[in-house]
Amino acid sequence: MVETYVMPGPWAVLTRLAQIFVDLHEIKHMFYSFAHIISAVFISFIIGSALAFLAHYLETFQPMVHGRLSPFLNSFSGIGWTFLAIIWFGISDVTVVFVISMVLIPFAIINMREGLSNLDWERVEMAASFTRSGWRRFRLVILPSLYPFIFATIRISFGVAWKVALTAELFGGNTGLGYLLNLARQDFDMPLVLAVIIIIIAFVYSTDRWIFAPIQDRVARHHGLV
Amino acid sequence: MAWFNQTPDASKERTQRSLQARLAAEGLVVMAVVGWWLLSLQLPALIFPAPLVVAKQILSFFYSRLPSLFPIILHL
Repeated sequence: MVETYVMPGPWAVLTRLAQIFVDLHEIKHMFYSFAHIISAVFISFIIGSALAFLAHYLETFQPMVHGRLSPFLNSFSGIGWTFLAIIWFGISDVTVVFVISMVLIPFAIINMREGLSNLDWERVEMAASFTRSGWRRFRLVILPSLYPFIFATIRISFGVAWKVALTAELFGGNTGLGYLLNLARQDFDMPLVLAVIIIIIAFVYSTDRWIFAPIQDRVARHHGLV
Repeated sequence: MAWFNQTPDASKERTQRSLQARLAAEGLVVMAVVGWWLLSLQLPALIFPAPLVVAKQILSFFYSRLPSLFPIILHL
């Protein structure tokens, strides 16, 4: 009913999907995207958590982090970061990782803030009566109480990161699935566009379903959180 | 704690802490704008325009684009 370059059939998309997995060049782009996302999720989690801890333990910084920094980052558009990063860092992997990280940091701040404000202070006080070591209290009591929020942060960051990564790679990257999508768009290779979208959906779903969820369940059971 | 239950020292400490927090929050904004301005002096305007240039651009949205909207508004 419509032209192939507008909407290719399922068979054409499946064939193109299979071709991606035998072409080393295209597999390389898939790994680049994965590397961008893992790096950005890690960086944003560390920075966001550090800021949330800073605001939680040093009250002076609360309005600074939650009243100024977090709303600023939360309302800054991903495309805005992309254009700025392209001019600042050029078309590179740094641009892609920077953009994804900047978009994810507020997610980490907000989630970790909730986690810290939901800490059971009676339990923390009880831990203080068992040990004077702050690190032991953090490792054995505070950190396990934060696990549900840590996993929520990582899971939501991972999903959002894929959405942002495509835009960042499309405009500011020379590697990754977003870059591949851009090439496919230029060549009117619609089966490749749909194949890339299918790969991302399958990847995000399977990672969440078979990696994050089981780890979260196991950790929660180990610490008696369920 | 209600204000009438607070000792003068506790109340003073609270005010001091709240002032410190406000200073840190507004200080961050001021530092960010000053940092932006200082960086804009080092880099070309194409890469990093000064805050004033950006502020002028934002203002121009209002005074240069509004008259063009009047016919539409009048038509409605």
